[in-house]
Amino acid sequence: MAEAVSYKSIGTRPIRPDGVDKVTGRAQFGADQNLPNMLYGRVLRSPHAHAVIKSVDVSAALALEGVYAAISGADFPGPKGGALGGEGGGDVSDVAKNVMARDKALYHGHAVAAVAARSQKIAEDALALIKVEYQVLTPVLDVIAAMNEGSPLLNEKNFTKGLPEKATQPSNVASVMKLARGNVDEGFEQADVIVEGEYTIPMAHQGYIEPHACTATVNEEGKATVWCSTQGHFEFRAMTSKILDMKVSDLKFIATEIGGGFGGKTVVYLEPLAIMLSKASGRPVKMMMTREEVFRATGPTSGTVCRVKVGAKKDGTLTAAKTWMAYEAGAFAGGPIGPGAMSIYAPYRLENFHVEAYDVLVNKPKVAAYRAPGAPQSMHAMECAMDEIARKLNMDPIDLRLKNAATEGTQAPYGPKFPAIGLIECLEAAKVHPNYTSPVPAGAGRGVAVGFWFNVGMQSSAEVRINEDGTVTVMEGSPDIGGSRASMCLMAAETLGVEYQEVKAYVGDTESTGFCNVTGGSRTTFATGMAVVQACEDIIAQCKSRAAATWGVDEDQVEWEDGQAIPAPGTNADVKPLSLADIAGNAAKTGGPLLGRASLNAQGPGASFAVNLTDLAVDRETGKVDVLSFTAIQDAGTAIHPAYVEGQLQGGAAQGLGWALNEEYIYDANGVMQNAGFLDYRVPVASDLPMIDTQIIEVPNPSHPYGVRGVGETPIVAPLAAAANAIRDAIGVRVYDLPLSPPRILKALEG
Amino acid sequence: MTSYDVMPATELYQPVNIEDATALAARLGRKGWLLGGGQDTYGWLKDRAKRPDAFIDLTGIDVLKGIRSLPDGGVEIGSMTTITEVAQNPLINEKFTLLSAAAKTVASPQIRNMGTLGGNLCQDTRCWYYRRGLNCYRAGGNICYADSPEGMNREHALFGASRCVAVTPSDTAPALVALEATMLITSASGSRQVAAEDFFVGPATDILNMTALQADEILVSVRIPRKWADATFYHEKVADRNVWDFALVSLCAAFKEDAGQITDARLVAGGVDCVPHRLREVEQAIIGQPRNETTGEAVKVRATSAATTLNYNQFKVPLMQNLVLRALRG
Amino acid sequence: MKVSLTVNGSKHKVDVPSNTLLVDILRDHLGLTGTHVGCDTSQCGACTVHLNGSSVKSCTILAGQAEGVHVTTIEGIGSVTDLHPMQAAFRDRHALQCGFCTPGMIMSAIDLVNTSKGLDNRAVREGLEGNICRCTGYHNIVAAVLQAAEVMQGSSDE
Repeated sequence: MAEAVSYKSIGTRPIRPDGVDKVTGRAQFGADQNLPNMLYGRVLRSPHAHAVIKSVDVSAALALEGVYAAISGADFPGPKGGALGGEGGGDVSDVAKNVMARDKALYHGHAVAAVAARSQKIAEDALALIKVEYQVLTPVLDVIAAMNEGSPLLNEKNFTKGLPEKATQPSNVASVMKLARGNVDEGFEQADVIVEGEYTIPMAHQGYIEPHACTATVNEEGKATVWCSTQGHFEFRAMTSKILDMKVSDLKFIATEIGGGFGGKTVVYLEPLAIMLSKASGRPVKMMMTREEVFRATGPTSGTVCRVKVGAKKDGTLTAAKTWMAYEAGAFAGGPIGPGAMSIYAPYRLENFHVEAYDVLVNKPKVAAYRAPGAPQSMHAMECAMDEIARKLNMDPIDLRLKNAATEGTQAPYGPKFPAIGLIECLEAAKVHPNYTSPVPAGAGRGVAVGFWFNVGMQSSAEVRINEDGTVTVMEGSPDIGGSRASMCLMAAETLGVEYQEVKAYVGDTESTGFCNVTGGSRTTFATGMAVVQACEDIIAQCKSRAAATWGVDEDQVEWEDGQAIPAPGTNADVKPLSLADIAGNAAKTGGPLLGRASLNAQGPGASFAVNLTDLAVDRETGKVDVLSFTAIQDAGTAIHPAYVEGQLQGGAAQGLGWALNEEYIYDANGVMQNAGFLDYRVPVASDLPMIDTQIIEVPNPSHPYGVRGVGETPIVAPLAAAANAIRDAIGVRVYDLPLSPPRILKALEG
Repeated sequence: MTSYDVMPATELYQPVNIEDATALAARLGRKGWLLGGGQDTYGWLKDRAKRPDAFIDLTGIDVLKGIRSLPDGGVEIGSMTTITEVAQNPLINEKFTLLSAAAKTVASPQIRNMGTLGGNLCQDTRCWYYRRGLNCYRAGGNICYADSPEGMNREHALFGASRCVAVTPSDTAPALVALEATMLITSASGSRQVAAEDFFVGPATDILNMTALQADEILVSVRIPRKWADATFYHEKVADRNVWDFALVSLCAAFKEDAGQITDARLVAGGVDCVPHRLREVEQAIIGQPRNETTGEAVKVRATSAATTLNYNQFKVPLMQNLVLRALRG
Repeated sequence: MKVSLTVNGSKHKVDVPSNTLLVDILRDHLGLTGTHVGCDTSQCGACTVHLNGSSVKSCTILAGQAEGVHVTTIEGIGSVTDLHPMQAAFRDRHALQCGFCTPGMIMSAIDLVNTSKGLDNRAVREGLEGNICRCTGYHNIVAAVLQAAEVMQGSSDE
């Protein structure tokens, strides 16, 4: 264990800088930007899940009074390729075709044309005038059937990647990923118990409450400015540049406040269309999705089929694990099979394992990142299997996991050796937690599961400006989706040695601050935070230099302590300490304004493990499940703002429980989503949940100056299996398919 | 597809007395849309699945609002009374808690604040094929998408299907049928009263409409007779979530007991039939029996003896039986 | 049609088509963008405002039905320097992450506290059933409402 460090600002719970704006309605979100002469853009979407687009004729729409522009796939430049940044898989050329279909419509709701008009009403009327000629094809909807040789193909040019030999026949399988170590067959021979099961998880949506929205305006010189709700305006700029074949410097993206993202706002949908429409009309264009469009045409995560087999000895030692998984990619390659395969065994020391995962094209929306993309699906299967093993061995489920838990030095299934990690600490905390040591309430079941996420580093920039009165302005480029500006202020205050109130953090636009990758991968507090800390260190170095010059001493005779320059011990100078305000106020005489900068590609994000406990009551007569208690225990490395760490744990628990109990995409035989609204796509409401108990474990990450690990994504991973294991405990039957809704529980109870 | 969120152009009439409203209803017929709180209305219009020419907004007519006691000890509720008022009204909470309990389970607080009892009773079915605007039987076509080999029909009917397999979505309707309420209906050509049980109509009677209201008629009020005041009630709604969802199955039951025996009973289920579904077989079987677990176990299968299941709604059979058991267990 | 309504204490007359929804008047005509649209189908609750003090979803009310009534939006309950106790509690208890559901949540919570006595955890959760938050798991929201209820009901009893 690293020794405890005491901090002055870090670990406190101050009010966030945007708190007042958000409780008074002043905060400006994606749909709140209005410009003079602004038009409204709307999208015409495919009524077929799978069809060849033979022709699109927008002339009648253009002729309608009040319509200023109409576009379709033919108006776009040929898409340029290139890997997507952030966590979303896939290629930019696919995003281009997702934004606007070209020769084929690949899901119900796929954009095929767009218009801009004086009012939303006229725009909607104009859509009805666009003539699209389709040749309807059989939709491919089932992930297993899609893999069959005879299946209709979404893309005749898709050849499976990742096979030992180059594929010669096109297929719906976009890629295969395999990870293996040791000898699985021998491992199973050593096992005293073996469990097997096929687990299915439905496609689910991030469900952010703010629909996608943007406003774009293109000036006479062809330079575009876009206000949008995004998790990464720099990456939106990059994608748009490739999709529209525009220079990066001709695009300015301004991130508005963002009403939730969870990974779903890491890729563009409307922004390139709004720019095209603005260019064509010569006016600003606002575009807002309806909730129905959000469900049908943006971001779900993959539905999966996961066949897992795990063996263990009598003492609980795992001997082998083998898994076969198929992920729905949606209409284009990019299901999260990599992280799914790499995470499934991550919590455990395993000599022998094999996992193969398939990224499969189906006529459903292209999946986007969703909080720990890929891991909830694969780890659900593994954590349910672990529960079954514990039952077979009559062993405490936490003890089983402790017996096999990865720790510092364990070689992760995906390659590197873990540095300091907090899994064992989380398990030990769970073991003695009152919610675990208390008896299980009558009629309820208790479930345990482990969660994990790699976390990422990636590129960040930050600039720290010391204003002439000594107050501090932090400029960075990571959209704040959960309170990260407060965390930046805390780290800056800690580093500079000033009060939190003296620091204000801002998310700059793409022209006013340096490049940052998306707010995703649980990277912001880690990587952008690291840049902020380094920029503050830059300031400190400059302050020391200015103080040295003021005092006429060498720089190494100046130290920085509690927000002021002081002479180093033994320095023979009769001087008063110089505060940040003193130095800033005198900056003109010592070399000009104080400006600190840092940019980096952060390494060593540090994996975050979690253990979740839940008690669920199951009404055997109605199939209704009540969440009686939920406990999320997670390693945060160092919690910069503990209230926001707890918020991540609680929010992730709610999303995970929703997915476990109620949320699912329901398709009809034609590939039309039946429940594209918040009434029938059932996210948890307040009365579905109890207070969510949290416990933050702090095993500092050695790669971060303050020991930060990302915390945002791990929380959604374990709730699925924790809930399924609790229901198994309550009703004595394993239900392999999510969600565990009343009809499904009743069916299981009926046998 | 086009996903709309703009309301189509629709005239809005806002009469302040019944005579004007009935005159408008007579003139506009099915082209007019009687508007209560509008909580289920605008979705239909935004989606262009229904295209009335005009709204007749009834919420400005004072005589359609409010709750008053009747000379016989019963209660009359104006059709434009909000669900919140029904749920909180002292008279109803004193005598007819079955109705207030059902009203409390309607949607969410804001919707109960705007939504009216009349609107809740007259709302159209939730079948998602129909709501999507497909040309099914109920929309005047000649197919049922839900009752097909691939149909997604976990929420559809066990009883009373006739071409269409949609179910009643109303939470308050089964309570009113159980309480033997009467609907007071008016039009330009006169008034009439219809028993709640006859107010709701199945597809065999009228596949295009879910109530007996004619195109020119307006629901004025609901009268609940004294008969079941102070009876023993049981209400339960089972939905996917604790709130807001429409019922998978709901049960409204009223019992009169004497000397430990059931002397009279009404049991009405929601979510299983196009209309509130009366469990007559169960009602008959429990007369003279004690209200307890044994009776419940003995009669619960009678709740579903006439059920016809679809591909995905078999769960409703044990669910209905279990709710009957719980109602009798008390 | 011409609609007269009072919004946050100020009288307004707007001339809009009869199919205009209240939320569009608030956001587009009066510039009150604190009322958010998350679904436009009366489900998410982000557009919740008060109509004569009672919480309703402004995406599902015709402008004509707001004739003559008093509408209160998030902009009308407190100011930056004088927050309503519910606003202060949401800020102080970290009862928001992205903040998009917050205005609607606050408006529902105020109505709930104004019309309920003896609120507890369960009652607050039931009272907020019409508002979805996808970020917080509702934990801090419930805590904030209970805190504000103490302030609001404490002062009204005096």
